[in-house]
Parts: sequence; C-alpha cells; structure tokens
Amino acid sequence: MKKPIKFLTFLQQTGCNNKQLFALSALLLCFGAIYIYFSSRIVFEVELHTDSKGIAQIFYAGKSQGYTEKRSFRFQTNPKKTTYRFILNDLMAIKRLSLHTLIAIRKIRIDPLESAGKIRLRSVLIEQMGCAPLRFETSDELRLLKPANAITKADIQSEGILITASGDDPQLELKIKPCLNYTLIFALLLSSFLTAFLLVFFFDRPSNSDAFKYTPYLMMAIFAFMSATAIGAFRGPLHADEAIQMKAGRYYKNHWLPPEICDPAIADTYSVYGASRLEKMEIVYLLAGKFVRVLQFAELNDLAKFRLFNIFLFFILTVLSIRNADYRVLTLPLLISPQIWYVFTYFNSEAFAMFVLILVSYQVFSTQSLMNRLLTAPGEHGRVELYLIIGQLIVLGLLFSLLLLIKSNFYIFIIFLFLCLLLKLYRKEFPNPLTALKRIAVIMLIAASVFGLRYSVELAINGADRQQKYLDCVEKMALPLYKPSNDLSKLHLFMRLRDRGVSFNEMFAGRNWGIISFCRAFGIYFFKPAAPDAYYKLVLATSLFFGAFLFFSILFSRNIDNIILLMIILVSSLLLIGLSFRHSWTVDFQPHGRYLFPVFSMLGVLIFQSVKDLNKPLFNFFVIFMFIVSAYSYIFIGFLQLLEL
Amino acid sequence: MSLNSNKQLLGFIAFCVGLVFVYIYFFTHIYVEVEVGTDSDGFFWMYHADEKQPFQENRSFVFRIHNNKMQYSFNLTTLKSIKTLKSVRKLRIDLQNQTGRFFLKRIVIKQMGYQPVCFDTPEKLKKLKVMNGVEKLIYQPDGVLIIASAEKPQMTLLVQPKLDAKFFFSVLFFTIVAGFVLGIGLNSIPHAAEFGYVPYLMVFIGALIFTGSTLCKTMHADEYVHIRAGLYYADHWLPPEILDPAIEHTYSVYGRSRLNNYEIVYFLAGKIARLFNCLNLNNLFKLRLFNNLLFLVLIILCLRNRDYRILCLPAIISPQIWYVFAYFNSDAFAMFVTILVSYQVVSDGSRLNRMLAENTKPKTMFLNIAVLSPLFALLLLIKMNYYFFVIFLVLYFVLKLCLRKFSDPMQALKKVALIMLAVAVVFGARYTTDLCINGFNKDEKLAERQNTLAQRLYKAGTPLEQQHPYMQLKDRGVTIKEMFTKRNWGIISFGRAFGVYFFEPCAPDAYHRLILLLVILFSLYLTISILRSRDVESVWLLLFVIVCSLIMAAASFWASYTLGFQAHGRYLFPAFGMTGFLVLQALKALNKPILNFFTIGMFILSTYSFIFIGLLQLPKI
Repeated sequence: MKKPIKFLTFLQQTGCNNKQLFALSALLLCFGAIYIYFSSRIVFEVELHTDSKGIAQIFYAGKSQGYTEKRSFRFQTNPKKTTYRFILNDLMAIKRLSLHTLIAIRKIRIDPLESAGKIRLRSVLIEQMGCAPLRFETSDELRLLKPANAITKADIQSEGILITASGDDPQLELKIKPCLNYTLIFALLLSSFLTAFLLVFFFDRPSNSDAFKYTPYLMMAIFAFMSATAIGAFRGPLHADEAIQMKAGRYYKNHWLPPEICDPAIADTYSVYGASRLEKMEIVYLLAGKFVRVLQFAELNDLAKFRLFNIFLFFILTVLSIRNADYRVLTLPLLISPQIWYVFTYFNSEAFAMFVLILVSYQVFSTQSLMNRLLTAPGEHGRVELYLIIGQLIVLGLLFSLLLLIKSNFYIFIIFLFLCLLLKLYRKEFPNPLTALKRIAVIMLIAASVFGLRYSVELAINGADRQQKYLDCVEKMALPLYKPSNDLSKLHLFMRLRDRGVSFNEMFAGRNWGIISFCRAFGIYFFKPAAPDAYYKLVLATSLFFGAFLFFSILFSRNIDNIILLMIILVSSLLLIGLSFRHSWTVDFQPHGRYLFPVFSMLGVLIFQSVKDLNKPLFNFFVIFMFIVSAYSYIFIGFLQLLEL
Repeated sequence: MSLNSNKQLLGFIAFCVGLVFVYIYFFTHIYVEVEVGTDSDGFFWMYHADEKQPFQENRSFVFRIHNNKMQYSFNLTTLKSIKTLKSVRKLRIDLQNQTGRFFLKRIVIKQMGYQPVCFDTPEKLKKLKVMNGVEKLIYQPDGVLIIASAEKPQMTLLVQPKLDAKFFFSVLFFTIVAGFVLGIGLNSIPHAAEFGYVPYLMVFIGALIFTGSTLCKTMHADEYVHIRAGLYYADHWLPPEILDPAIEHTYSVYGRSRLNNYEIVYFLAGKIARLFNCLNLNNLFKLRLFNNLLFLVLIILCLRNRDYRILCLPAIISPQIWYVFAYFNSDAFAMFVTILVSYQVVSDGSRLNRMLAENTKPKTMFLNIAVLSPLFALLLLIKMNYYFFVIFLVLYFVLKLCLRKFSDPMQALKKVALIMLAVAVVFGARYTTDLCINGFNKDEKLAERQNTLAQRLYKAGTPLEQQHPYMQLKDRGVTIKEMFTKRNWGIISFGRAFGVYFFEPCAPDAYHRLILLLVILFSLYLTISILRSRDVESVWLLLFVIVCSLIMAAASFWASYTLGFQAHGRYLFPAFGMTGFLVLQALKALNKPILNFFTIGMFILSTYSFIFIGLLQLPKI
C-alpha cells in the first residue's frame, strides 16, 4: 500500500489537489464507461426475405472453436420483417460477464431455415467500435458465404442470395477477418490524454504571476489560426520545401537509424540541390516521424499529421505560457511575426529549433528553472540529493544536446549562450561558482556525449569518408542547374552571385537582399510577396521603433549586465545576418527571413532580462500592435493566398 | 471598462504617440515613380507648389537619368519639409541632357491616404503644358517624346489629389480596435481563478470562428437571405413595406422575408456593415464580422467576470454554436442577448439584481431602468423560438417571489413592472412603425407575398402531391411515431445541434454517439446533483428548464410535422442558454472538476468536429 500513497503525495506535490485527483478518476471512469458501452457491443444485422414463418440461427466462433448453442442467436423469421438485428455483449441485457471482441470472431454460421424451403439472404453486417465494419451485400461479397449443409442451390443474384434447401438444418458458413480500426480508440485515448492534461494544468491552479497575462490568450488565438490552416483549410503543401521535409520525416516512421547516403530508397527525399534532410544531424525528423507513427491510426493524411507535430510544439509553448510568467516573456517574440506562425503551421525543422531555443532559454535565464536551481544549490549534499542532482543533470544534458541536433543556423544561439554564461560567471551570479562550473561541465559533457553518439552512428553507417560520399551524392542527385561541378554559365542565375561579379553593394541595391530578408521574416507565404507595400513599411517602422525603444531603455537603465547582454545580442545577430548574407552571395541567393529566427529567441532573452527597465505599457503597445498587424498578414494575406494554391 | 490605472493611460498615450509617428513617417512622404528614357545621361528636376506658390529650389527634387535605365523613384518631400499631397497642386518638370531628346512614359505620385495621381497614359500625359525650351511633344501609344529646343526644357502639370477616404477610415478603425484592445485587454485582465480556463477556450473558439468566416464561401443554404436582409438596413433606417418590389430578392423559397418580422439583428448588422464600408471587404464578410464581434464581446465579458464564464459554458460545448457565430444569421445575436439577459437575472452582482435588492435613489433607479430596458426589449426583438426563454425568465421571477428571495418583494415587483413598461414602450414603438408602414392588413399582405414569391414546391396553395415531399408531413399521413423512427426527427435534430455543417452529416457516427453519451451523462449529472442538493430554488429551476425545453422541442417537432420538415438543432439553442443559467444558479450543488470534465470533454470533441469536419468540408473562397 505504500506505493499508491507515495504516488498520491507526489501528485499533490506537483500541484494536483484532491479535487483534481477526483476529477481525474472521474475522467478515467467515464472513459472506461464509454469504452465498455461502445466498444464492447458487437452488432449483427441480417436482411432476410422469406414467404413463411420459420426459425433461423446465427453462430459465431473463434478460429479454433466449434459452433455451440452458447455462442449463437436464435430468432423467428417472418414474411413481414426483413431486417434482424442482434447485439452481442448488450449491456442492457447482460446475462454473463464474458465480453467478446469482434477481432476474436473468425467464423460465422447462418442457419437460415430449420428444414427444406427457400429464403433470400440480402445482406449481412457485423460491426464493433474499434473494428472496420464487415459488410456482405454485393454479389461478390455474398459469394464468400459457403453452403455447408443440405443446401441444394445458392443463386447469387442482384437482390441477394436465394437459398434453396432440400433437407433439415441447411447451413451457410462465412469466414471473416476483422481488421482493427484504431481511429476511434486512438481518438478516445488522445481526448482522455488531452483532457487530463488540461485538467491538471488549468483547474484551480493560478499561474505563478500576473505579468504579461495577455500572452497566453494571444498564443491561444494563434494556436487556433494554425490548427485551422494546417488541418481545416489546406490539403496541399504550404511551402515549396514541405514535401521534402515530410518525406524525410516519413523515413523515420519506419526506421530508427539514419540511412546510408545516396541510398536509392531515400531518393525522393533529395532536393533539387542534391541534398537530403536525412543527411543532416537534425533530430526533428526522427521525433516527427515517430510522432506520426503514433498517429498512424488516425484518418488523416501524412502531411496533416506532420503539421500536427509542429502545432503540438506550439501548443506546449502555449500551455507553458499559461502556467509560467517567465515563459510568457520568452514566448513574446512569437507574437510579433506571422512568419513564425507560418513556420509552426507547416512541417519544417525551424519550428522545432525555435521550440528548443525557448526551452533552453528558460533553463538558462529563469531563476526558477531546474538548471538555475541546480547551479545555485549548495555543493554539499547527502546521498539522496546526489541521486536527484544526477537525474537533473541528465535531463538538462539531454535538453542541451538538442541544441546540437537542430538546424545549423541556430548554432549561433550556442555562442550566445556561452557568452551569457561567461557574463554570469564574471558577475558572480552563482553563490558557489566552482560547483556551478562543475555542473555546467557535466551538462555539457552529457550533451556532447549524445551528439557524439549521433555522430558515431553516422560514421558507422556512412563510414569515415562520409564527407566525400556526401559530395558525390550531391553531384549525382542535384539537378543540372544546381550541380556544383557545372560551369557558372550553366548554373541557376541565383547561384554563386559573387563569382558572377555581383558586388557587395549590388546585393543590397540591385538584388534587395536586405529588404527581401526582412519581408520574409515578417510575412511572406510560399514565396509570394503579395502583401501591400504599406504592410511591410508599417512593420518595418514598428520594428525600428521597437528596436530603438528597447535599445534606449536598456541604455538609459544603466544596468551594466543588460547593456552587455544587448551588445552580445547585437554582435550575435550581426554575425548571423552576415552568415546568411554570405551564403546568399557566395552559394545561393536565398534571403530567407527564417534563417534569422534565432534573433527572435535572443530578443526574448533580452526582454526577459531587462523587463524591469522597460516601460510596460509602451512595450505592450508594441507587442499588441505587431500582433494585430501580424494577424492581418496571416489571415488576409497568408490564408487567402495559400487558398489559391 | 474605463482606463482605470495610470499605466493604462500611459499605454494609451504611448499608443497615440506611436500612431503620430506612423503618421509622420508614412503620411508625409510623397513618393514619386517616374519612367523616363534618354539617349545620354542627364538630369531630371521636379518642382512642386500649391496654387499660389512659385516654383522654388527648396521645393524640388533632382536626380540623374541614365541612358540604360528607365525607372526612377524618389521621395518628393522629406521629414524636414513635411507636405501633404493635398497642398501640391502643380508640378514643374525640367529635363537636361546632351541630345535634347527624352521619352516620358509615366509619372505616378503617391501618398498614403490619397488616391495615387497617375499620368501613365498618352491621354493623361497630354495634360503636360509646355513652359519653354520645348520644340514639340510627340504622343506615342506608350508615352510622349519630348524634343527640346533649348538646353533645359520646362513643362508643368496641374494635379488634383483626392483623399482616399477608405484608407483613412481603415486607419481610424484600426486605431479604435487597437485602442480598445490596449485599454481594456491588457493589464486589466483580472485574475481568472474560477473557471479560468473558459476565456482561453473562448479565445481559441473565437479565432476558429473568425477563421471560418474568413475562409468559407457559403457556409449555410439560408445565409444569402440573411445577408440580403442585413444589407437592406445598411442603406435604410426603417423597415420596408411588405409589397415593395425592391425587397423581393430578400424573400426565401418559402416566400418569406426576414425583413417582415420584428428581429432587430438585421438593422444592427446592417448599420455595423455600413461602418465597415470603409474597409475593402465584401458584403458577406462584413455581415459575418457582426456575429464575430458579438463573440468577441462575450470573450471580453468572460475575461472580466466569473459569472459570464459560467454562462458561456454552453457556448463551449457545441460546435454548432461556433458555426452559428461564424456565418451571418439571427440565431447568434439571439444567443448573445440570452447570455447578457441571463447575467442580469441570475448573477448577484448584476445591475438588475443590485437594483432589486437595494433601495436606491430614484435617479439611480431610473438610470438603471434606462440601461436595462433596452436590453430586455431585445428579448422581444429576436427570433421567435427564443420567446421560450422569456417564459422561462418569467417563471424564474415568479419563483423568486414565491420563495421570498427579495428583501422587499413589493418594491422589486414595482421595479420589474417599470422595466417591463419600458420594454413594452420599445417594442410598441417598433410595432407602431410597422403599422405605419404596412397598415393593419399586414397578414393579408404577407399571405399575398407568400403566394406570389414562394416557389411552387413550397407554396401553400400548391396541391399536396405537387409540394416538396418534406412539406406537411402530417397531411401526407406520416404518423408521429414514423417521424421518429423513419424520418429520424430526433436524431437529426440532435445531430444538427452538435455539428452538422451545411446539411452535410459527414461526421462519423461515433462522434455523434460520443457527444450524445456525454450530453446524456452531463444531463443526468446535473439532474442528480441538483436533486441531491435539495435546494428548492435549483430544483424548481431544473424543472422549468426541463419543461421549457420539452415544450420548445415539441413546438419544433410540430413545425416539422405540420409545415416543413426542418429538423434544425439551432431551434433548440434556447435550451443551451437555459442550461447556462441553471449551472450558474446551482453552482454550489455541482462538483466543479466533474463539471469541468464534461465541458472540456465536449469542447475537445467540438474542436474535432469544427476543424476536421466543418472547416475541411465547407466550400472555401
């Protein structure tokens, strides 16, 4: 009896009070009742036409069972009645507690008459919730009914099967193979899981602070927009790359290990550039693939299921922002750009990277986070605490390892974090710096081990000459316009602009790299810059004002920590922009705003650290203003444009 | 809802300052696009001035023109020289190059808030007046060739900029909305401890509803009739004459127009749609926005008040209600009014209950009556099936009197009588207006219209066998039993109260079964909890809900049986309103986690239905 008490205590410690426990139990009971009520009922429906009254009987049995009276229905046939319906496991008329499932029934025997005569059997239907219904009504389906005894003739006609029996006890046998249909069971499970989740998170538990209360409401609205777009409105791809990303994810539906480079089985995952997402170290495809595998019983196409993965990530962030004021601040940048909403709507790897960055930011910067509690805890501890610390270090190590397993442009955030950590150490924010440093080292070691493991797997599969294989594959799979070995003149006009003599200035003046990148960070859907010019101008003006407001607020606050943080962010952002620019200039002109998304995460951190120095109404004004403008863009530009696809 | 703290005031001021910045940044820039060709490199000057001003260097802009480039754009004014396009009435164009030949294709001048001034066709370019130095202008299909006789040819153009009112209104509207969100929404969100999850779910639903309204083309077969009725009031203040041929398009296939009943929703929606005229939206969306806004008001009320959160619980549990708020119809407004009135009647903190409980000064009392009577008058100006809700309210008031819930019953009765009198006056005014316009023979006129405009299949005079097979089932010999067994009136009505969109019952059977099960369990739970509580008021109220709902269902059934088979679940929506009322009144008797379980369970199923069935299946724009 000790364990349940401990479990109860644990639940109470996590914030579950008795009422919630009661609600959870009620929930489980209800779902139990629903399950028993619906899923146990097996319905047999037979349509028979006869000229005279008689007695019929239906037997059912498992694979190795014989037909017995115990497993049968006996009923009177009547010329006035055609449809006969029986419910096995009917709880209203239950006589014994031995519930059957359709999956266990493998053969049916129908005795339509007691003696010689004629009868027309039009259809047989057997169904149970959780199984695909078995229907026998077309002539092909009715042919599966095999005469077994005393039947002289079984004419299969368009109106059913006309049975002529010469002797006593004519029989028809039907072998069935019921298939499980998990959709409903899964829907039930998902609903119960979500309900329990909502119960635990919402009810009677006030959040830890009243700050930025509007954030979760706005997140909820964005969540609804996303769900409607991703599932309700569009069946086709929402982005040119989405199909390739989805195919990469689909590979992991049935695999646990990465594929060999250039394996013909993954040929469909290669882009026009001859690169496959499966060749990267990104873990998102494995996670999404497995997520979709769990959802495989739902009647949705794969595209929608993969999108659900990203939407689910956003949902987690929404729930976290409801519960925790620190998350509310860190998720604020998600509200100000419709491009981020768009990225969470279709399947790609950026959404997961953004998600990881926010989780990691919370750990590093929130004083209540697991990591900061661990780093500020005293160095001396008992054995029990030691185990707890080890457990926490492993959890954190795993989380931080994700930083190495996301898209490479997000690596800039690692540099940013490293600089912040140095700042923290320099400012002596940890009461026991040596212990903190040791623990950070352990976390880094665990993260490095995970990455090392991933890398070793890669080496084991693709060998030490992986890089060469990769280059060969690019050469093989790329379209001629994008083949690295091709002459410049034969390459796509957007490739290697520097080699084509495009100057640095021209990249901005003639090619508009800056403007396009900015616009693509604030609302361009599927390459279409169809928003009115005024929209981008408005967003640009607001962003500039917002940036200036943050900059001067922090500068005038004279808080040296925040000023240094601001500098770190400026440097990191400029570095990122520089890298993105360099790629567009020397490799391929791809001024994607989403390459600059780590800046949004850093912005979240900056706001989080300097929130006390900011004028809140003014700050809220900027956020809400940008949210409204973003909603306009997402709905009126995004939705309507994507509908045309 | 006032700006109740300095911070909010500061926020609002900041907002205004922000807008001024936006104004200065965007509105003061006069943006010019020029397409001009030249044989050799040279210069292009543009001077601007108002009617009385001379052309001066400080009101000009100059740029180099090249022989390999045609398109140029520049800002005619800068922040240093703030100008509005309105003050620019004439332009002077000077050109200079070595050959003296130029080809001017296009000049477009833009400023936010003004319609663009375009000289982009040869006809428009003929407005160019030569000042000096021009030998001749040769007009070609795509522009004008300028041949200079002097080193620096000069030409003038008179311009008449026009304000773009739509744009200004858009900005104004946007400002109001943003101000509203800032003023009310932000820091004033109270701490939602009890039923704190409701506003979150309401925001989620609101966003889904808005999405549905934006994306879907036609959401319901009747929507066009509602839209046309609403649009009538966009240009009118009074109801139309029944026989007016101008409203013939508002008649349905049954020969009835929504303009001929007393519903006020078309008037209100029409006027709101007129406000939205400034936005570049189609009529369908403008009217849908009215229903969306009603839901937004409910969200704001939920954010601010616990009792509204409970009254809105029924709005969470059925996707059909979300659907009704997503397209334009009169049911959404009726639901909205029901919730507002319920709050006044059942919440202890409401204006009505405070007035009935306290002895207030006559001035305050009259003020309260002036506020409350229009609200209660709305109860008589909504769809007729909601009149059952009025009966329910009357019963509840009588019950309160019988149970001596008022400290001074006589006083309460008097105050209620005063409100009812005021309500009668409002309704009387509407009725009198109708009499003035349509006279005393309204019924005859209606019958005439029905006879003329109804389609043959639905016309009363058409022989039964030639009518639609769903008409007058009773006369066709269908029994009451058959209405349930063969025609499935009960099942269809239930299905259509919980997620059937555009007549398509495409949800898997299991969805409707699950929701049915939850509805039954929830009803049982409510009944048993209330009976067990032995609270006389709640028990009676439960009885009223059951009786009123049954009568309402019977009336709906009778209409389907004797008139046309229309097993619409939305006819039973007042039952949702009554349920909310009952839950709030009997809250103490209910176990909150179980109540929450039912609402959230039904919410999840509803979300599934609305997104996976509704949004996916409804035709998109």
